[in-house]
Amino acid sequence: MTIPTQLVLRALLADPAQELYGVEIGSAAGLPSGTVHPILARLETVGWLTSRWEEIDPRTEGRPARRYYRLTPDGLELAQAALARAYTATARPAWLRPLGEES
Amino acid sequence: MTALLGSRGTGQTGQPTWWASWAVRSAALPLPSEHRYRYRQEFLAELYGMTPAQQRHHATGVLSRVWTLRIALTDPARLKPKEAAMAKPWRCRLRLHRWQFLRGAEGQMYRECRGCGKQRIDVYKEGPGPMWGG
Repeated sequence: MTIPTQLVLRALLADPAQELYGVEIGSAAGLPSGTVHPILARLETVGWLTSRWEEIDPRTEGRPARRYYRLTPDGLELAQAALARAYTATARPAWLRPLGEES
Repeated sequence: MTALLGSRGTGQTGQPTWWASWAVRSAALPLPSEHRYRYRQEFLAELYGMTPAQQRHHATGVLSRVWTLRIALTDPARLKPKEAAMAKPWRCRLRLHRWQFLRGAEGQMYRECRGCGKQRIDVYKEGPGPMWGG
């Protein structure tokens, strides 16, 4: 899993119940504009994410509806497992680990 | 209705400027026809509430990555090697990491780069201090 994908998943996992739109996800993940949408599209294709249009009246709000994303229940479990694996894969060298941590 | 679909706009705070609207509408053109309308609306809606400078930055970013989005929609398996090759930001390659300080599950402080995810544990001090390089 690439680092930008990990950053996007972490942003979504920060509060899995909350729905975020593309710019919010990019901002939370610290990724530049444009980088987030291909990642979201791929995660949505594999079923980790679901998206929906915001339910507003554009005339009242003065803007079009945004597209909101959230993790699916399956995606939530898979994302947590994938991030745990990614963390293990980039495990710190022994001299950087706190005392008492198993190698 | 046309304004809500992201037409010219006024350039006032919160409203898309005409060139940002044009740029994101153009960005949706190379996308597959079944996804084009959705992404055009999505990109336009995201412009609302931004300053003109933010809109320029956002529209440029969307335009620059539209082919990656097209690949993600049409052939997601092809995207991974390309994305992986571009994963590490140039700042991080130069060891100019953007550190954020975090606390682990066991209470220990560590720092992590916002750009590449690189992690470091500073065993010699508790709080954040001046950090150089990586």
